[in-house]
Amino acid sequence: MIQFIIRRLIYSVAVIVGVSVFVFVITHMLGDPARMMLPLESTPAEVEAFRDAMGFNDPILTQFWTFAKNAARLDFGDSIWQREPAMDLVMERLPKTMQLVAIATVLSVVIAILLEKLASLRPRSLLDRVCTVGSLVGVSMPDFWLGLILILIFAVQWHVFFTSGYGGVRYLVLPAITLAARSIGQITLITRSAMIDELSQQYMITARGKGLSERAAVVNHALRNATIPIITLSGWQIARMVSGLTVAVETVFAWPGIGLLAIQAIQRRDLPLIQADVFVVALVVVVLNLVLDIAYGLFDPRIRYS
Amino acid sequence: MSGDAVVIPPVQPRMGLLERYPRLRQTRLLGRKLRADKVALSAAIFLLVLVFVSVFASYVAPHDPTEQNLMLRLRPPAWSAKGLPEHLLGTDPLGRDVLSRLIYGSRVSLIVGVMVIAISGAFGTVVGLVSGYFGGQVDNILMRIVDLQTAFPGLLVALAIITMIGPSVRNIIIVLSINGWMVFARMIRGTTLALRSSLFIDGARCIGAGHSRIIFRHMLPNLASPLITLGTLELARIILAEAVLSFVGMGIQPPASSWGLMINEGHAYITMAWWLVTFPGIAIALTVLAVNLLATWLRAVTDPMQRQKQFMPRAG
Repeated sequence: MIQFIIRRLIYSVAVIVGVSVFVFVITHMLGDPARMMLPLESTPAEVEAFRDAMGFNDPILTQFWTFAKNAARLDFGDSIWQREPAMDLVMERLPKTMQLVAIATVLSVVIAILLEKLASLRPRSLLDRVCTVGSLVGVSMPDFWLGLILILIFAVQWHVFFTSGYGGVRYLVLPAITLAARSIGQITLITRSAMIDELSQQYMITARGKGLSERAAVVNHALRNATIPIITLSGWQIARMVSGLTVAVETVFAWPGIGLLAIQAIQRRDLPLIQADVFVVALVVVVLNLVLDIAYGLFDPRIRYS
Repeated sequence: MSGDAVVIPPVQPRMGLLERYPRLRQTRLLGRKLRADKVALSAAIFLLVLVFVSVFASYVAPHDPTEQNLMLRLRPPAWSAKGLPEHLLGTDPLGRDVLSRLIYGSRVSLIVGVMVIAISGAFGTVVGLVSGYFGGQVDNILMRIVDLQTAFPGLLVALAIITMIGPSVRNIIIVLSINGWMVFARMIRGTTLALRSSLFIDGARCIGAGHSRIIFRHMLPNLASPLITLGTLELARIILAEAVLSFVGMGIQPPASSWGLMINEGHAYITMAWWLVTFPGIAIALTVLAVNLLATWLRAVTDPMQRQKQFMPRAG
């Protein structure tokens, strides 16, 4: 087990290093970072002075060394837009994104399992069909668009919730539902598929044979076994939310998390902030994957040795 | 009276088109199966109509998508009280016809989707074939790269690259291809590994076929159906990704139109003009839904293991 954890740790560090190299290549070697950050009307002399000040005139390897040294200390320089350390800005926004992601995850897992529990008790019923069609539609909708439609209905028409901003429950509900919608669809589809596998297993015949009610057999035996793929999928969904889905949803609801921050940094061409944001997101995803993998290793010994 | 037994003359086998081209028969069989499945059939018809409309956009669209008319700005759809019959889905803040912009916008979704699938699919397939066929150290290195890039925050990296190289249709295709090849590589590698030990590959090797002949003549045709299914599934994901990029302003740039960009432009007017964000979103959702339905059907038809999953077994 220790060996497994160590192997996973080394791998995670490799991913972080890979992401940093990638971020460096993107920001320093595709295009000209100085022209990028300065206003369009700045003179060539100003651009040159800025290049000197930022070290963009150094050999590329020297630049990379400085970048790597600073990145190891989680220092990506000051944000050009806010004139504060970029890392602080990102860390300040991170909890707000995590709050949204946590609520959306709980929401999607609970709703998906509830729906599937009802649907698999009555296969091919109206509810089962509605669930399947509904989850396909949920998976096919652009989530930012769903957010806008929810705003139209609940904020503009009925005034139940606020259109955008950060705060209590009335701000939180719409973005959380928007973020959860796709996961609900995906988890329901996968649960359905897993349940079909489980329902045709031998132990279901035994369960029914020993006189268990259909309900008890489905809920206590089949659904319990089907939870493993559900856990896998929801872990994967969390990573997907953090690493991208929040960008559009936070933009729609002006939710001040790291997704919105990424867009703001990109619109202001604030390279240090972009670097810090991408790096932190990668770090969160990697840590999440690490925790999930170790959790699996604990639960399922087969995974440890593969 | 058994003396004069009727001698049946041997029938000359006549080679029909179908016998000469076994693939054609498969295609026809697939077509027949498609006609039997109403949901998949309607999805396919929807996509065909969409392709037709986007190719012949200049004939189908009622107006020029960039033609502005500030006198007729923000008119609701034709069926509302203030709507105009010549602007079926209303007009935007510059008085441009929403329906015409939707029709032209479908081009972007389809072009980006098809190009990204072609590029990332081809690259991923080659990597997967090489990795699965040669195995060993090559496989190890290639798969580590795939793992590494899969762990990247894809959308953010895509946004960062777009910021540096500038938004345009070509750059969106590049960025989304960089983002999407790993799925193909992983899937093709898995299938290749299974194929490598099969008898007909051994046979090909015995008669002296070279590596590239084995890979491209013997293995690739067997990968066609999983590739088509995965490509269809990826198409759905990429149409959504393009919409997100355009929505956050890092995709298609005005005055061109794309569905994601139309939602972005409508966002500011959401309190007074619901039709601006509603219709492009419905267009995206319907297209992606059709693609998803077709992919589910394809998987069910080509993979017998999946077929029974279409229906829940009855209880008891």
